[in-house]
Amino acid sequence: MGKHNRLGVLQDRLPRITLAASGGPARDVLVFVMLRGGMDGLSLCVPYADPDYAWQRGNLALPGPGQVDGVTDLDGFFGLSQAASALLPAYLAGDLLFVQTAGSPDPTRSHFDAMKFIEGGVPNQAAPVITTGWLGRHLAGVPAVSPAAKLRGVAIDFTAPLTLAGAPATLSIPDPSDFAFNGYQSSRLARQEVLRDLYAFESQPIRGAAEATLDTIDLLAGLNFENYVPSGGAVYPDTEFGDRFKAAAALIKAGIGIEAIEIDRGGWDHHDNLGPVSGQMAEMLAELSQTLLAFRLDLGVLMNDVTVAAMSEFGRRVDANGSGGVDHGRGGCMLVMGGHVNGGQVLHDWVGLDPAVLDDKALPVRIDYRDVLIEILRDRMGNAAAGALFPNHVPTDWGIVS
Amino acid sequence: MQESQKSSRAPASPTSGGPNRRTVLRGSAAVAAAAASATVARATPASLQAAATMEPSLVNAWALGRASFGVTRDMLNDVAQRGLDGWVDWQLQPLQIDDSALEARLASFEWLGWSAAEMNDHPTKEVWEIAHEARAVRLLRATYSKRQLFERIVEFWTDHFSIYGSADDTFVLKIVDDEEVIRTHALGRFQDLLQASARSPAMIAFLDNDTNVVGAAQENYAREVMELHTLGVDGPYTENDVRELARCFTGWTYWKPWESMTQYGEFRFRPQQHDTGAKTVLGVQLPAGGGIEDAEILLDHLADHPSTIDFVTTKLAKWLLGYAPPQAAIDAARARWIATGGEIREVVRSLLSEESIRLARPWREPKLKRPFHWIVSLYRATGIDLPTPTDTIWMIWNLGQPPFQWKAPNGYPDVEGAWASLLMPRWQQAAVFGQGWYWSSPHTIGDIRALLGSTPMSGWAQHLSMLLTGGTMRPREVKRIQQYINGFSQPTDQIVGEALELVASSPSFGRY
Repeated sequence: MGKHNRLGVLQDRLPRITLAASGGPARDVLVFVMLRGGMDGLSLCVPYADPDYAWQRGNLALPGPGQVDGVTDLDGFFGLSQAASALLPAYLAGDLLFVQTAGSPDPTRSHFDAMKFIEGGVPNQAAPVITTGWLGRHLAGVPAVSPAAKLRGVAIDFTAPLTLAGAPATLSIPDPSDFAFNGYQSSRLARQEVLRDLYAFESQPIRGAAEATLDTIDLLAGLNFENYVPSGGAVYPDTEFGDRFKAAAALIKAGIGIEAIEIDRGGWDHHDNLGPVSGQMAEMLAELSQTLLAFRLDLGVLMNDVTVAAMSEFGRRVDANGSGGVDHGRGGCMLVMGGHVNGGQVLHDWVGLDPAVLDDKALPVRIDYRDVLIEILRDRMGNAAAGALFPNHVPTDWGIVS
Repeated sequence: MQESQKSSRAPASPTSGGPNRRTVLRGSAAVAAAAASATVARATPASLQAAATMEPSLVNAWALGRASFGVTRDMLNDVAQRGLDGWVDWQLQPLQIDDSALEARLASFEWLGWSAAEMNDHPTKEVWEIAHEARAVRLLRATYSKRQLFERIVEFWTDHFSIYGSADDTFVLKIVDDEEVIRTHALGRFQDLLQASARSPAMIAFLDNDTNVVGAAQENYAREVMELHTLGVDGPYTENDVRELARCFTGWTYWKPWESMTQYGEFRFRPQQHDTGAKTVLGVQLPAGGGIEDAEILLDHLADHPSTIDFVTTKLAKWLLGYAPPQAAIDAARARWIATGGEIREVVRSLLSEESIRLARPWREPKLKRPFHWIVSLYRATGIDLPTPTDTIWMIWNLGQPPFQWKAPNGYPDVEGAWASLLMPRWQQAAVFGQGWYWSSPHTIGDIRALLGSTPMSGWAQHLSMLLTGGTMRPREVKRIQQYINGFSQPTDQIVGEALELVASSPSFGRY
């Protein structure tokens, strides 16, 4: 710990031994979280010791350690917002990594363009039409971890995120406890066969979705989500986001061959009334961190086979606006959690917050989100060719996972 | 400068826009005489490959699918009489279409037409209850309005100018926005629609412009009005334009309850909060000393900008013609926009011309119904009644698309990939609908059986496919469903419900 200067970071970037991609241990399940709206990473992993932080943030600045509402020191330079203190156990155990100054190299400050490029995995490129996502291409490019797996990817949501577009055997399931095939049960299988035939000639993605849906009915029916009891004393927040993580834990524990789960949380677009101490931001950080805490407790030793990665489409400007909020920025903070994550540190490439070094009033992006994901996909998800999921990018190794 | 609520605001005009709430409520409550049981000309489902020789009746059926929330027998009869262009022309004057049956259904929503202040002060209902009822009103209008094309265009603008109806302070404000912005201007001039949307308290609240003040401009609305509402994200604007436009919008707010109980929810320009310095946006120079007109000038500039015309016309073409609409159809519509100064009615007329439909070939490039569209089209096709729409809304919630509930400002997506992997909720509801089991929908299996009339079991699949898809269902789907029906020797309740379920669950009914 204490890696708060650039040298410290560089020491982490030594060549490492990569796990054998084949014949090695079973691959991790990846839980990818899009925090939509532009999460203010500076209110989560707070650069309290930077001399240019407090004056630019004004009354949105969080006090340093030991003060009222002060942050909890992480490494002598960054501190954790009190609202997110549920993340401390994972951090102290070395299972949680903050990646500050992270983001997409594309300069757009449009939510929707930034998300499109991040999820498509093609920032800064004149891509023709983006139709698949990086995680979809990953799943399409590696054999199923369990050859008989009927369901490899799930978005716990109504709409399908671009991240997963192109993935085989992947569905949007807003509530896995409600996946029963209705009607007379005596004719259930016969009706399912009719639907299988009806959709067999459809174009993609409908054909694959119909097939995966029909293949998944019995699988989920056997899991009894309704009566799922979390382990380890885990208490998920009683929110949609908390429920969705609880469902993810149940799906992972079921061991049915799921390789990737996406869970989104929108609402981070805090142009006004940021509320980093007790307002909206604090409430959302508390929900996020309590959810991750519960998930980690619930999975227990299974966290050795799971990696959670959370990111937003961009961070927000360093300076507060006149509405007690912060406008769209650039660099943000990613979270990576798991048993094989090189956690307990804040990874960053900090250049300071002096307005002269900022990217048009925002934290510059110094760590490419693609580098973070490539390491996870290559070293924990068994994809030796993970770099190719992000075309025209030469990855840098930051030592995210081991 | 004087405070102003009305500067250059176009009055809600029933002749230039669609039906507004006042005209809706003024209409006769008499229910129109039930349409005679005219039979539909039986179209033989043509091979989808034979596009060049596509029968006119099927071209019309596909065109109606795009121009409505679901084709009905009445509509097929209408289009057979009027021709496609005549039908579109008729639909583009919605106020001249009798909608008294719908108006009668809406009469129980006493708050329709009330101001935000009145709704906020409702004697018995909380604002969230009214907002819930407003979603039911949306369902009823989509299902029962005879002004189907108008409702489809309302749906388009609802997403284009999307406002999350459960954000801070938008519960009743979105209802006002729906009436006074979206429904009033849906077929009017784009410029009027844009100006009205910019003044909409719901939009102001949703995109935080009420906190955009001099000295500390706040860019949320200014960015989205260029990115989402006008120029498009690839439009020719810079980050600096965003910030300069935000300065133009400083002081655009609305009356808060604590400022005036009676004026709550009305637009308000506060000169003392407006940045009066000189500004340059998109090359337009605004001298110092400007007031509300700073942003008005820019809104007019944006409404007429070539990038806006391209972006919005193309998006409308995708809405009506397909995910990849033919360039020639877009070009024709764009020419109409330019020739008419942005009359949405004329742009829509161009896009739905028989020529454009034949270019777009919806039978070759079908779109996937979004969940709201899917369930509405099922009620429309079957005529199954919706007596308790505030309960039915929960079903639509489970399907994934309750009205006014998309949380980001870009609106519910209209791309196939966003919805394709969500088939299960549709299949679930199709089964429940077919058997008459949905708790809030008091129809019974007898109502479903009545749809089959005296058709022998051997013709059920064909009969139901005509009823639900107007003949656009693929023959192999009809055949496969009939094969399943043939496995039953008696017309039991079970097979009656399952026949409908399978047609409603089919790929063809899911498309339009």
